[in-house]
This record gives sequence, structure tokens and C-alpha cells, in this order.
Amino acid sequence: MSEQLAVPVALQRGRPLGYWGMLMLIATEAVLFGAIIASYFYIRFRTPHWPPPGVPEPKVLHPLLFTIVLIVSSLPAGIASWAARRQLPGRAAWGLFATIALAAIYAAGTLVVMVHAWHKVGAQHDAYDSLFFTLQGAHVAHVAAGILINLYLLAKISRGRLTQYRINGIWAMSLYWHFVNILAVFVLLTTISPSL
Amino acid sequence: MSTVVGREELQRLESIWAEKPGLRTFLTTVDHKKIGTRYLVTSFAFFVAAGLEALSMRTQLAVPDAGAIGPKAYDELFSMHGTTMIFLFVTPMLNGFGNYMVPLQIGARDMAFPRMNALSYWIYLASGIFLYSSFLLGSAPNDGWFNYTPLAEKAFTPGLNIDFYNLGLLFLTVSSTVGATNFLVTIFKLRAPGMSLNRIPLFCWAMAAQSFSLIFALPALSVANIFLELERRFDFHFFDRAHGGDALLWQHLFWIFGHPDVYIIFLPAVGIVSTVVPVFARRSMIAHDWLALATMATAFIGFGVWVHHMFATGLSNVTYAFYSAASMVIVIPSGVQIFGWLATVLKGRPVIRSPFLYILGFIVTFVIGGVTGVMFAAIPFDQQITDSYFVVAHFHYVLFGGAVFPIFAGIHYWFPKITGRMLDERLATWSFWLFFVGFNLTFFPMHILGLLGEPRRVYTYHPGFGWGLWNLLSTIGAFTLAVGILGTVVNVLWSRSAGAAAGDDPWGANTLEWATSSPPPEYNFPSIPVVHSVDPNWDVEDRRDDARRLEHAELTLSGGHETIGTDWLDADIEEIHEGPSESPWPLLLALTLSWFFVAFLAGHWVIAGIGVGLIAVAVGGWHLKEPGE
Ligand code: HEM
Repeated sequence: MSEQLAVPVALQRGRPLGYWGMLMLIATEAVLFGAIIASYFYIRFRTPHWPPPGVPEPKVLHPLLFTIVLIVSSLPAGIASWAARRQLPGRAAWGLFATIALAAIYAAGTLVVMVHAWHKVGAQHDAYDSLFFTLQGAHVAHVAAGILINLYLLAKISRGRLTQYRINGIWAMSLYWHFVNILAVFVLLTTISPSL
Repeated sequence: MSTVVGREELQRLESIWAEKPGLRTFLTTVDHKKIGTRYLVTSFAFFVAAGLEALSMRTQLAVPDAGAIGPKAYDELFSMHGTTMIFLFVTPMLNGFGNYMVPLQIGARDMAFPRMNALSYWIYLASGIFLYSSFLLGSAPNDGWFNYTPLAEKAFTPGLNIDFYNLGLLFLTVSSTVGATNFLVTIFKLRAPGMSLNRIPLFCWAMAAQSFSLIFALPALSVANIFLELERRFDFHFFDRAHGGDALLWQHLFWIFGHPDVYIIFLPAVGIVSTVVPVFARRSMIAHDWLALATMATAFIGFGVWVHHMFATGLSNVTYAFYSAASMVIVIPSGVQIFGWLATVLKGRPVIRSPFLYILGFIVTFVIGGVTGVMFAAIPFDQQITDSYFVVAHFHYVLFGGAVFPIFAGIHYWFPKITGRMLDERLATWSFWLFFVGFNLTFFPMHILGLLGEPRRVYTYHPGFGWGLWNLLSTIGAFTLAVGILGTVVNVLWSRSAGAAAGDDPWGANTLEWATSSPPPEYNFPSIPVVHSVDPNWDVEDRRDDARRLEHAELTLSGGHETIGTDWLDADIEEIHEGPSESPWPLLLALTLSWFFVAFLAGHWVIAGIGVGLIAVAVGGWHLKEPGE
């Protein structure tokens, strides 16, 4: 009996707890965005003109380009996680750095798009604008939070060791990252839908 | 019989896990048992607060045209009563039991994320204080617990009342989400070796089902709160027709959350019932697997029924038919559970003690509540009695009967484990009968009042309506009930220090929390138990094996704050998890969040912005010290 119960210490077979925790967070965030998007279409299908008269149709090209840049960042995020799990701190750091840089382009670009839209009509004109700004703003906020956390992880592993705790952090953050990027597609399709 | 090795192991565990008594530990502890106890005490305090609000309402309604409370105060009272009972009492109370008992029942040393556990408690406390501080400013939420627009829009409720509601609930949601995540990962990843999926105790299943529902339901409420707050504060538009919004959007979002919430409240309570029934029926639960399935099924179906709260709003007929059917389907898993309990009781040799009394009270009440509930699913009837006292009667039978009876059963059942002492059985029996009679006397007459046409949420009524007698009876019932509850409070306070010693397992129970001492040591189990059935504590030989393993220092995990990680299906050992010990950051993070919410409420955007910065700093500080360092 005791043999069978010996604990395989060296063997980390399971995924870290933080990984599962992150999955739960992602699930709840997915519903959060789902509810905002559902509200968008709920209101849209009760409104005769969408966008309402006097409000310009949403731009397509710039948001599309920025979203593509963001989606590309899933690649370095995946590399960072892969490298961290294989104890390759250098490559993990580069992966994180590239992820952050690409995401920063998306965040900055999207903010510019939002500021432009704000100057045209603002969010207080009509339900259409309120929904647009809330949805887009919520997404940029998620990207920004991700950037901050990745910066923190980057600082930690470039100045210190690659501990198991940090590996788990990078691993979980890469999940978050893929999620936010998939979300970007839905947010994009929703926000540009009136122009399609 | 204990060997040197065994004693050394115990000493080592003791020195690793022991927390020094004192203020510092009080503020930094991450022990799930301390946090669980805090949840229980805090939520009971909110129960008392909401109970006093209810008593004020009943006093006002005792006789026609009474002048004790005006309409404005009455609005705040029923809103805060409902909000407190739902958000600050029932769910946190059940989480308190969950926090204390889940790690013990699955043979773990702590929750999966001990610091997040502390965090969810501190946020809960802070958000509760936040909501209640609204009374000090004289602007408590006053648009009912579901806060419908357009009434809740700024044009109609200009004060801070609704901002308290929105921000308080958003704040609280952070706590619930963190807690739910923690429960799920704990239940699926930290079970004792051998506790495969089909051996998970039913209470843990219930907590898992509840947590799933929370994860998927809460965001809808949050979105509703965020929309409404943006509308009130920054003139966004979501709910007002004039600017392209739609007031019904609030109702949809609210009930996408609200209906599953009925099960969020109800499931863990049912889990307590399924825990207590086999112990006092003195036999293994009949159809254990079916009950586990029914628990999960209830959680899933719960999402399909939200529209039934809106039968009176004018949706299409097909929609009505669909949701009417879904509302009826949910009866099936509930039926499975009821028959499971009844069969277990009938096939067993029931021993009636106070925890079991509350369970029997629950079953009686629940059946009455269920019958009136099925009546609603018939839409014409629903439209007839919507917004009458019949509804108030129904949901108290469901919520009070379905949740508070089991909670009281839980208090009586687990008190010996938490304190090491027994409650006084005579006082408990007396309290139960006052509680049971008081409850029915309070809420049964409300059915009749509803059929006679008394509307809910109105602060008084005309003497000529002939509602006086039933209302008076109801008020008498409420005070009787209060005395019963007081009896339990006195019993708890007195027995905590003066009760008879309980021993490890006073009820001869089947689950693992009873396999360790009462109260359990900081590390819960000297050697992680190994499980071979659904009733592990009835497997005497297995428990002897645990003791033997201690003597050989096997599965004692004495290298740090360690617990065992197992795979979610068969609970085979995967690895050892090193958890964190005391940390000041959960409290600090909760404080920075409070900073943000208070500043936001006050409309100081710069200070709120600084709050966001502080939150980021606290999150960073949290990760400075890593477990095992
Ligand atoms: C302690 C005994 C209780 C008494 C005497 C009591 C009494 C009342 C009364 C008089 C009302 C107001 C009816 C009206 O004028 O519309 C009410 C509303 C309500 N109660 Fe209770 N109640 C009790 C316990 C509970 C519990 C345990 C829960 C939930 C778990 C609960 C949930 C609610 C809710 C949700 C409302 C509706 C508030 C609203 O209209 O927004 N109550 N209760």
C-alpha cells in the first residue's frame, strides 16, 4: 500500500492550480463580455436606425489592423509560456516583451480611435454610443491590465530566478492573453457590425 | 501506541502551521477555518440586521393605518431587507460553512488559494459595511432588491440610494467570484487520494454547483450594475427610451443572474440537507449518485428559467410557452432529491436530534413552497397574483424554508466540530418549535392576504379592506420566530464555553471532517486520509490506516504549507502543492478596493483614480513573497 501512495515529488503531472483558477476567471469574463455584446444586439434590434441618425458609421480599417496586431501577440505569449515551462528564462523574457509591445500598439491605437469617436459624438448622445464606448473601453482596459501584469512578470524574471511560482504566473497569463485576443475578434465584429 | 516518528511529525506540523495568537495574525491569517468562522459570524450579524428590518415592517403592518413608519422609510426597509438577506446573509453564510467544511470533507489542508480566500472575506465585509453606511447618510437603496429601471434611473431616484446599491453589489461580486473560483479548484484538484468523482460528499457537490452558477450568473448582474451606474453618473444611455435605451434590458440582465441565484442560494442549503440526512437516518444515502447529478442538473436548468420572472411584461406567446415548460422541468431534479432523502429516512433508523428537526422542518416547508411555485408556472395564475402578498409568501417559503432551515440545521450540526462543544439539546428543541411555528404563522397568512388582494411593498392598508386579522397574525408570527432565533443565539453563546465536550465525532457521521479532532488542528489532518467509499468516516479500517501512516510519516507532508494535488476524475495523486502562509496583502487589497468604491460613490474622480493605482500596487505587493520562500 505504501508504495502505491509514495508521492512523485519530482514529477509535476498536473497543471498548476493557478492555471485552473485562470480558466474560471476567463469563464466569468467571457460571460461578462457576452452580456455586454448581447445587450448591444438586444438594443440594436429594437432600434430602427443603427447607428441612429446624425451618428457616423463606425470606421472599419483601423480597428481591423489594430486587432490583427493584437492577435499576432498571442504567438509571443505562447512562446513565453512554452519557454518558461522549459526553464528558458531568456526566451520567456523576450516572449513577454514582444507580447507587451504588440499589445501596447493595439491599446494606443484603439484609444486614438475612441478619442476620435468621442470628439464626434461622445458616449452620452445615444444608447448606440454608450454601448460602443462601454464595450470597447472594457476591452482596452483588459488589455491594459494584461500589459501591466506582463510587465511585472517580465521585471521579476529578468531580475531574479524563474521560480515555479513565476512559471505558473506566465503560464496562466498566456491563457488570459489568448482569451483577450479571441475576445478582441468578437468586440471588433460587434463594433463594426453597422458598417458591414 | 504512538511512535517517536509519529510524535516528531506532529511536532513538525504543529510548528509549520501554528499561527501566533494576536492582532497581527488576526489581520493576516489565511486559515480556511478561521475565515470560515468569520464568514459565519459576519453573515449572521447581517441576518440579524435584516431580521430587525423585517420586524420593523411587520410592526408597521400589524394594524391598519399604523403610523410607525412612513412610505419613504418603508421603501428603504424592504429594499435593504431583501438585498441583505439575499446578498449579505444566505450566500455568505453558506460560503462560511463551505469554507470551513469543504477542505475538511475532502481531506485537504486548506483551500486552493488561501490568500484569495482571505481576500474574499475582507471584500465581503467591506462591501457589507459600504452598503449599510447608506443608512447613515439617510439614503439606503429604496427601489426593491431587484432595483428595476426606469424607477432606479437618476430622473426618478436622484439620491445616492441606487449608487450605493450598484457599487455595493459590484464590490461584493468581486468577493463572490473569487470565492467561487476557489471552491471549484479546491473541490476538483485537492481531494484526498481515492476520493474519485463519485465519492465527493454531496455538500461539496452542492458548493461546486453553486460556484459554477456564480461564475456564469454574476457577470450579468455586474453588467446591469455597471450600465446603470454609467447612466446615472456619466449620462450614458442604456435603459431610457428617450435616448434609444430599453428599460426591459435591466430586467433581462437582472434575471439572467437572479434566477440562477435562487439556486445559488438553494443548492448549498440542499447540500446541508443531504449531509445531515444519512447521518441521522443512520444509513448511507440512497441514490447518492443521482442526488449528485440532480444537484448539477438544477444548476444548469436554473439558467433556462429567468424569463419566468417576467411573465407579466408582455413577451411573445412562444417565449412564454418555452419558459413555462422550463419552469416545470426544474421540478424533476428537485423531486429526485426529495425522494432520495425520504427513501433514506424511511429505510434507515432515524434518530431525531436538533439538526435533524430543522431538516424535517425544511422538507415540510419546501413541499408547500414547491406547490405554490408550480402554481406560478401556470402563466394566467401568475398574472393574477403578481406583486401581491402571495408572492411574498411564496418566496419566503422557498428562500426561508429552502435556505434558512438548512442553515440552522448546519449550525446545530457543525457547531460541535467548530467549537469542540455540544449545543444544549433542550434549548435547541424549544428554539426549533418556536422557529417552526413562528415561521408558518408569519408567512402562511400572507398567501391569504395575497389572494385577498393586498399588494406587496406598500407601507400600510385601509381598515375597511378586512386584512387586519391576517396581518396581525403574521406580525405575531414574526415575533415568535424572532424569539426562536434568539434562543439559538443564546444557545450558541452559552454552549461555546459551557457546553458538554463533543469529542471528535459526536454524531457518528460519515464524512471526513469528523475524522479529525474538534476543533481541528491548523493542519486539519496529521496524515492526509485515503478514501475508498462515499462514507469514508464509516470505514473504520481506513481511518486506522491513516493513523498507522502517521507513525511511518507517510502522507504527512511536513515540508511546509503543503497539501496534496490529485487529478479531478479519479483523485490519483499528482503532486504536492505548497501553499502560502499569513499575508497582509488580502486585507490591504480589500482596503484599496474600498478606497476606490468610496471615492467613486463620492464622485471624486481623481481620488478614485489614485485608488486604481493603489489597487495595482497591492496586487504587486501580493506577489512579492512567494509560497515556500
Ligand atoms: C426573519 C424573518 C423574515 C421576515 C419576518 C420577513 C418579512 C418580510 C416582509 C414583511 C417583507 C416585505 C413585504 C412587502 O411589503 O413587500 C419582506 C420582503 C422580502 N424578504 Fe423577507 N422576511 C424574513 C426573512 C427573509 C429571508 C430569510 C429572506 C431571504 C433569504 C427574505 C427575503 C426577502 C425578499 C427578497 C423580500 C423582497 C424585498 C423587495 O420587495 O424588494 N426574507 N420580508
